[in-house]
Amino acid sequence: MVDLSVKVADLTLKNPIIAASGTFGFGQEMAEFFDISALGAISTKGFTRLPRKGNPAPRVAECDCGMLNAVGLQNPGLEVVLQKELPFMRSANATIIANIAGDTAEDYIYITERLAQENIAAIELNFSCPNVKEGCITFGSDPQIIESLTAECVKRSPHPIWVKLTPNVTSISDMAKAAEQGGATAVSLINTLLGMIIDIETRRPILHNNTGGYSGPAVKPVALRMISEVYNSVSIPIVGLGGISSAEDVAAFMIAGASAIQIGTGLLVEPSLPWKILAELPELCRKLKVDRISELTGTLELWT
Amino acid sequence: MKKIEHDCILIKKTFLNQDNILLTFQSQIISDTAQPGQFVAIKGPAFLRRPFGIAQVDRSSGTFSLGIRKKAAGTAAFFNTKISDNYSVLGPLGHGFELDGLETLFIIGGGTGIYPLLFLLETAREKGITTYIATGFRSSTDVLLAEEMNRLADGFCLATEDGSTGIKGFAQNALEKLWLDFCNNYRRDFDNSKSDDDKDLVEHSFEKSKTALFCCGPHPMMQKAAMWAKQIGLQCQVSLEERMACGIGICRTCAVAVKREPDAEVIKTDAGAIKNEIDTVVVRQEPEFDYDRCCVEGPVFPAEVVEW
Ligand SMILES: Cc1cc2nc3c(=O)[nH]c(=O)nc-3n(C[C@H](O)[C@H](O)[C@H](O)COP(=O)(O)OP(=O)(O)OC[C@H]3O[C@@H](n4cnc5c(N)ncnc54)[C@H](O)[C@@H]3O)c2cc1C
Ligand SMILES: Cc1cc2nc3c(=O)[nH]c(=O)nc-3n(C[C@H](O)[C@H](O)[C@H](O)COP(=O)(O)O)c2cc1C
Ligand code: FES
Repeated sequence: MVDLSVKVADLTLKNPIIAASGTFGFGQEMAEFFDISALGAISTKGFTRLPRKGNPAPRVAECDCGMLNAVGLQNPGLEVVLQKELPFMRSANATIIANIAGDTAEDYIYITERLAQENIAAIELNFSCPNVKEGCITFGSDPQIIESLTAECVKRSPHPIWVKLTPNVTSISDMAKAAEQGGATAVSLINTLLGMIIDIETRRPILHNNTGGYSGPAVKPVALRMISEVYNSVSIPIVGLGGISSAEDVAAFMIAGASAIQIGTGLLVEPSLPWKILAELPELCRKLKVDRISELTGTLELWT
Repeated sequence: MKKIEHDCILIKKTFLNQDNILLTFQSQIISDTAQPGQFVAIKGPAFLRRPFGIAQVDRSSGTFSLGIRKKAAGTAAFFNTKISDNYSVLGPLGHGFELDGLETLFIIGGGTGIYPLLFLLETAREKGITTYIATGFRSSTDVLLAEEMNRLADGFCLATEDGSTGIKGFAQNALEKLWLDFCNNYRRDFDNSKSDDDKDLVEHSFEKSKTALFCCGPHPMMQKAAMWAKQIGLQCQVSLEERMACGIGICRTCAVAVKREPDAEVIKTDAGAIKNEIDTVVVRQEPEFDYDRCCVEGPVFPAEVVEW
């Protein structure tokens, strides 16, 4: 029997597969078709203190081996999440990672406080959404803000605090170090890469927001490089994501340094992907000669 | 738990012309459960799935068909498919046309919007609903499915922009002609002796609540038809298209702007929670309308909620 369970600091997950934020809603739609409790965890759609309507359409543009999105954090707001979404997820026995976002430091702190009594596995601070004008990414590219805001949230929360990092920075290691300094339990990376697609006939970007976040298999090499770099810079665990679409990808991300992984765009195209990968992992572990999948984490041997 | 992802074998391929094709796939589940106006998302060589309205179902043989127009590489790939190839299909998806309670149906279609109308016409016929359908094309060489429409509908009017076949004009002109004929017939049947103004008579006598206009086609065509329906007091449903990633409601990329009464309950709880902290809340500029998902709440919407 291969042991698929993993630990992200003190949190034990039954397997390393987490549904990524923004590509699984709050689980309700997927629960009609799949056993959402079988996943290691589910990261919720990023939510804010007040409801958000998001950006005008088009919000998605296909590109080579991936897509750009500019949803703009459309979400029902904290109250609805507390009253409806989280209770549903709990009733479906899902392990919940609450992905939160804000315009201001106060927003993050307020939501973190309101989540204190909730039965959730962790909070994921989304400092990295590229599609809204205030907050988020501006926080995620300033190490001082990352450190201080992480510290404020850690101080107020009984839950593990994960910090989700944007790849749209000069040095992601510096951002990861700042999160570690602030007391983060883990870092998750990567969020989407800021990009643009142009319609040459109309000479306009396809996305109404002009720019959007690039995700999918195309960003996988960037994610792997960043995870490997961060693994060598911090000692807190890493939750890896960016373009994962096979069991082999999961293994590569763990070898690069991830303790657990998330699947986003891959499951938008193939909704059953997380369960398919889950079913393939034991065989792959046998092939890679590990009894416990967690043994893969950080076993990358860089050329010297 | 419901099954959403189906492996479907392509069993038939019919070229309607160089740029339009009808593909028939095997899937008992999809043919059994599909409703007119619903769609499927099919995986071809492109990265994202492509959404297509369900054009026909044959429940006895467990098949369904899609009408596809070549737009760019993603749709073009479906023209090179081979019989007995296997495709991953999500479906049936979304919210289709609401036929309950209707007795008479006016339909306007154009562009790729005409394909799902085949399924609609067949279903309406099964339910004993009288149908009048108007379609518009550029020229006689572009005309598609005219025979089928003629066969399935109780009334059919075709328009071409150059007048090379049917009436000269747009689908909207064909629709208005069907309506006028309907009103005239109605008046004749209703009471030959009365000589009041057509419009007035019709307005006050036949049951508008059991009559509707359904639209499927280019955005400007539907917008115009919906405004016309509003003017004459007909309820109207429109089938919208928006770019999609997942097709099943989880990504919120397929946003359709809809008018909405503010959700009183939600606002109350928000106000309660923030009343002591209102000074620290940054109130964002938010649009007055909401965004629904084309793939879940749509693709068919009541015309009056659409923010055109
Ligand atoms: C609910 C629904 C039903 C549809 N039904 C039909 C049908 O029955 N027959 C038919 O021929 N076409 C239909 N379409 C349109 C069809 O999906 C597009 O023509 C097709 O996706 C274009 O792909 P492409 O690669 O050729 O074009 P590209 O322009 O290269 O596509 C690039 C991206 O934009 C998206 N896209 C482009 N045009 C549209 C569009 N009009 N609507 C939504 N997404 C678009 C593509 O899916 C892809 O993600 C429908 C669309 C929707 C949303
Ligand atoms: C449609 C869409 C919506 C997303 N929304 C969020 C979000 O609300 N919060 C967040 O932290 N990340 C969000 N992301 C980023 C993903 O969680 C993930 O970091 C990124 O897409 C890379 O992984 P992938 O290639 O597996 O999708 C979103 C991504 C997509 C495609
Ligand atoms: S396409 Fe993903 S929610 Fe509609």
